[in-house]
Amino acid sequence: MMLGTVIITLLASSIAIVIWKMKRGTRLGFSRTTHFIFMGSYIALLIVILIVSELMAQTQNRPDLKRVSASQQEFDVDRAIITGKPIPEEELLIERLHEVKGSLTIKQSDYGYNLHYYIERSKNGGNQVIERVYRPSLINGEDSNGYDISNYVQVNLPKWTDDEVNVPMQPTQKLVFTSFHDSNVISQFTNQQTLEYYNGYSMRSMKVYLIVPDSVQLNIQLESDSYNEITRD
Amino acid sequence: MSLTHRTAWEVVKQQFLYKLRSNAAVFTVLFVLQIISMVLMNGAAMTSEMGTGSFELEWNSISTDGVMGLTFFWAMVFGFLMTTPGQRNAAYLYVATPLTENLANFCLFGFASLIAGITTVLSGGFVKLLAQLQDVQLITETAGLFSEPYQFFTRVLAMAVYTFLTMMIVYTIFIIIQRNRLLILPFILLWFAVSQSTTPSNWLGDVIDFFYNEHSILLFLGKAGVTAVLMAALSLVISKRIEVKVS
Repeated sequence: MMLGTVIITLLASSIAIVIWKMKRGTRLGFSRTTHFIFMGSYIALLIVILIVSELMAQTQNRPDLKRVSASQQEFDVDRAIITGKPIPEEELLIERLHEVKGSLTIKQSDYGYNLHYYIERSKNGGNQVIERVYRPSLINGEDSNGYDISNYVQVNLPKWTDDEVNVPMQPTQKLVFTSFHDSNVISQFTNQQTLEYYNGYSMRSMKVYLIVPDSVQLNIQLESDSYNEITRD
Repeated sequence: MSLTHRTAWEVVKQQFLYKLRSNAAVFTVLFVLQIISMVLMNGAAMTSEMGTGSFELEWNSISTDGVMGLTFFWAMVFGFLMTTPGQRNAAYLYVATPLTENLANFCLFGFASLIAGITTVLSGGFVKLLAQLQDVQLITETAGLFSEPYQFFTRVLAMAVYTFLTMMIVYTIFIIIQRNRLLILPFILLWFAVSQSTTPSNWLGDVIDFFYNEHSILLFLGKAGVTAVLMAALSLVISKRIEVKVS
């Protein structure tokens, strides 16, 4: 606020001085030659700075972010798990097998952010539980033009101890990104018009999909809205 | 052939050079405005912070919007300055006519627009460098001069043309106002009507879209050229009457 006031005051006063001087037909403090030297130096300096920044951009590590495709944006992992449709590999964080003895307890805990369980009973028998963890997806912006930041979200995987599973608190994390783009107004002949402002983000919860044999007794200690039981024909 | 006889083009050239020299300070003002925007406003940075539980995302978006905005503001002031009586009286130093006077002004606008276009687009390098030096995770969404030089120069062209049109439009408006000061009222009312308009689409938006939605350079130049010629013709006709009135 303070800075804005200072800038506006500076702008208004400098413009007022120029208008007043021009109307009086008098010159501003510097000689004409000084103004032209300043003009040449300014443009030369900007060219040098542009070259330096271009060279730096080639050597600096840039974040590996990709634009979200429309199909990726529309793909619903939850629905795919429920309906048994194939899920793209990149959505899968890890797949593990766990041996359980007789019963499995799924415990409720404070995750830090959203998590959802899908529990499917299989008729295969045995005592091996298949665990598939689907990553939380994070997309900035509210349309399909945003960036997929999912790979940067750190995840603590579910902890298995004996015949018990729970998801530990997710790590505290602050992601900071900076994007630069030239003004959209002057980029109309390019294909590089971008979002003016990344307003909001969409984050889909992490999913833990457990395929538990019928022979294993289940003790689900989760809140009713944090899991779904899936039965296949 | 007479040594004292000068063609209209020679007069225009001489007047243009005179106006360029006498308005050199205006260019310095442009550069100061751009530096203020680049350094103090960081181009035009916008930050959004979002978080849920243990997770937080901060997204800083920096662009040359601020530099561009101030350059357009400067273009408007420049367009106005060229219509002030002080500037018009300078024409009496030469054997000038309203035609050569206006043509010299248009040449000056062209030169100023080119400088504004070049410096605005180049300022992107400075804004980007500031971000690079801050050791941040920087995503560059605009291709650079080395990677896509063609797109770089189209941005210079677009900025120069928009600046030129801004100057021409403001110049014509103030020439009309110079003709009759009361005409400032309809322009003020028009400005309020447009700025207070709550409808999603208005005629000003349509006019801007007419240029902004054009992705063909040739068609864009055609549209801008026709508009500039119309503005030039209008200002020329009106300024001729101002001269008659003054004399």
